[in-house]
Amino acid sequence: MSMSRRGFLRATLSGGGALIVCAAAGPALQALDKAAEPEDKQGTALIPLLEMSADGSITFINSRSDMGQGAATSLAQMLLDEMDADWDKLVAVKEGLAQRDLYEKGPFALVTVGAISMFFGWHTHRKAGASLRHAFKAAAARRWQVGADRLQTGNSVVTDPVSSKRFSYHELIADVASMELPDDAPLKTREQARIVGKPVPQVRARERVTGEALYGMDVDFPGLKTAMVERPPVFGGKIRRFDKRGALAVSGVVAVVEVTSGVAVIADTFWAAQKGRAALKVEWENGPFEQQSSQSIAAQLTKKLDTPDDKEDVAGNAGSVFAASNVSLVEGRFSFPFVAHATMEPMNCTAWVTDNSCEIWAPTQNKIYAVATVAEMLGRDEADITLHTTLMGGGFGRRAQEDFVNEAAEVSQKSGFPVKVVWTREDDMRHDYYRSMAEIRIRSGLDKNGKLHAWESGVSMIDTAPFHFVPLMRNNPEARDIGYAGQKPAYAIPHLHLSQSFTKLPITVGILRGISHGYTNLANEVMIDRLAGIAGRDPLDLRAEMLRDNPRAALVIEKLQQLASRNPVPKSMSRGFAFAYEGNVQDRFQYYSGHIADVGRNDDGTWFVHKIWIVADHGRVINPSGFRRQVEGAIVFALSMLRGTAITVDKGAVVEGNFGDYPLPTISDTPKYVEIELIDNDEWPMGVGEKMQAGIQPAIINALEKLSDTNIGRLPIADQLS
Amino acid sequence: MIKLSVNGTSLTYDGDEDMPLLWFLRENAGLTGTKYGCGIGQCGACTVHLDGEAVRSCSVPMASLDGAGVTTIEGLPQDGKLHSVQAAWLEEDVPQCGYCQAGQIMAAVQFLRQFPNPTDDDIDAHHTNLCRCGTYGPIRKAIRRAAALAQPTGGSSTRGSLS
Repeated sequence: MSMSRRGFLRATLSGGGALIVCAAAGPALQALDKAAEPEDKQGTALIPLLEMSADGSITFINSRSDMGQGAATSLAQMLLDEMDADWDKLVAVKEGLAQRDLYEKGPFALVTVGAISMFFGWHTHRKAGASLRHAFKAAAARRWQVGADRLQTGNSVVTDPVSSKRFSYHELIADVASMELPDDAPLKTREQARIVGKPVPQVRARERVTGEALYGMDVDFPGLKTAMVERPPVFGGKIRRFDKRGALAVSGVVAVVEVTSGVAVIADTFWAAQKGRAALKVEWENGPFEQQSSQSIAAQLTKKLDTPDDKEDVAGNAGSVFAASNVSLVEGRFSFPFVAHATMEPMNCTAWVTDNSCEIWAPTQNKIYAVATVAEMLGRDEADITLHTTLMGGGFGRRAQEDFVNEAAEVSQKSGFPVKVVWTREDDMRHDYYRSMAEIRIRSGLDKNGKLHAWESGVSMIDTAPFHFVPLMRNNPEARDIGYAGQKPAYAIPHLHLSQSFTKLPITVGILRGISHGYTNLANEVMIDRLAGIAGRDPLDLRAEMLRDNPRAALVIEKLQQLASRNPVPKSMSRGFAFAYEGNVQDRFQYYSGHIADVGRNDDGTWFVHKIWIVADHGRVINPSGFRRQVEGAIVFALSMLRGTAITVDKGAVVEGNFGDYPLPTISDTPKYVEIELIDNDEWPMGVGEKMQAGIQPAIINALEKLSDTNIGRLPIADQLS
Repeated sequence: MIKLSVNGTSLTYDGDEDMPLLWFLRENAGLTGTKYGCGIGQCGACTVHLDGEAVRSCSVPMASLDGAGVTTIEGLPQDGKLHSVQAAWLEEDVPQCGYCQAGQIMAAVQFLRQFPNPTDDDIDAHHTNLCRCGTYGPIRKAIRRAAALAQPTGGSSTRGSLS
């Protein structure tokens, strides 16, 4: 094993006698798809991963953001399993600080999006754990003057089976802190895993049921004020003038300042801030977006389908196939509204900017770029900004945008007060970074035998690049893929043509649970089931035929077929299928899921989902319990968009403001039966929270189309059922 | 001057009487377990018990609370021991982000007082708190588990069906 002071892992002793373990994960992460680590491990700053106190109790330091998706739990599982630590000694989880030097240098530096925490953690946290396990063994071997190879580890103990001597890990803390840690300690095999693969309850659950958990909204300290910002109702709007006298007359209001995003009212309490803001008089310069509505945007997007900005013959020449006489052309059109995240905890951020310091408490999925943006706004070094990631009440991609963090820092700087900028539900819903409206057209060519020859798909959406959650990517054409990722089917189709149309508008659009897969995969999978119906073919057979060359995908479909044949469709219900995937067969980054929905209708014509089956190949399964929770959550999230969470634009502003007109599903909407079959293989693990709903929605729609003999072409489904 | 009792402690309030109870609890009493989610009584994240009834504290003005008795999530454990509903929530590993869960638990405690042995239909009809993470499946199981824990025999409920 190679060891180096410039290596991957460092252990030091704190003043209190605790072992502090840090990883230089930056270069290591960049080397993900290479066999070897890069030679130059630039930078000396390190990611803290773990503290082990003198009594052996362990604090896991969470470098990612945990919005409820369970990343902290699963990363701790990877680390503690690989180091052979006792899971019961895990007593606390702390959030890691945001310091860019500590993390990878690439453009996606520690943004917690895209199901990547498991994927990256499988590299860093496992590697760190293995290094520590070997260090504890080496330390014991040195004390006993025996060979390390004969020693065994487990439950935070090193034992020598020959002499029956034992050391608890914490007895070796000082030894390990003075050692050089191995860079390439061998990793455990699947059979040696003790914690990975086991159903583990979420860390920090207890404080979440006692009310002790502190979210961004709960940050408090003496002198802290509450601020609310009146933002332009129309996207792209500017302040023409404002009168703050009414606001200042409200008892408890201490200041009113103009900031980039609007007018901030700073008060002693939430209630005073809200009343003060209501008493503000602001005159807006609405700008041209005032002329726009959902209908006008949909018309523009639809028109733009005919003049795409980018197009590619991915395979063959679809146009020539459509011109041939032996295939019939089938066209599908799909329309999607804006969707808001509606995290249960609305956006908020606490900031305290003084002449020589800036401290921030933010419920953010994007701590590194939040710091970078604040540093730029204040004209200071990133190193002078301290950001604490708080617990957060849901994220779903909204908290990957740094707008609310930067705004709080500006309010504090301009007012001179430490402030917690609180967004009301209405603020949150009307100033979101929405999943874009989208129009999709798919044309496909089937022959008489039901074989799919050609597929032409066009996606038209609002250009997401100007709002990309990585500031470096803004206006980079590559950043547009958030708006059409998932458009390319996994299916082998001889003639495949894809095109994209981007419309620039000031309405803020971004990423929402599963990004564009939510609409692209929905359209693809509904289309496939329709084609199977037209051809009189079994929809899973049709998929299987086109996935033959992708063994992981083919296995998912095979298992789905077995489930379907073992379980007859309940009487008077209908069954829909769908498939979802991300990645490429040649990369480590790939995962697949298959979906069955059994759906019925009530006497009053309303519909319900009786049962959902999922077959999933997300690589190695870290926490089956967490996996199930994410599937259950994705089902509810999927239902929300089918049933009614649509954002409407009228006169350039968002109409919906609260749960009355943006209704979330309740417990009564939730299917009582959910069955999950995991293909737990040795491929790299992928998160579950994100893309799963992209397969659940089309499965439900396919069932509903069969049940009602209607084509469903828009979300929400509303009155489209016959 | 409004006098009220919160988790057994007597407190007074002489500010703006329009202010909802939620903000008194969070800002005056320092009890931040009760959450703000919508401000209009739709989501239930702010659910507390007011004189034995579950209410949405964002929609109860302080003016109506003279002499009232309020219990929040912080007042639910007895003698340092979690309430059976909280224990059931942990056993079913319910929370994801957890933000709505204090309200879910307070609603479930009151619901189980009315429906000690609830069916799925009872739960569907009466448990209306919102959760964006979609923890409803585990919440259903946790409510039923809490009902079973509270039975004199400690036995499990057999009505209804669960997967």
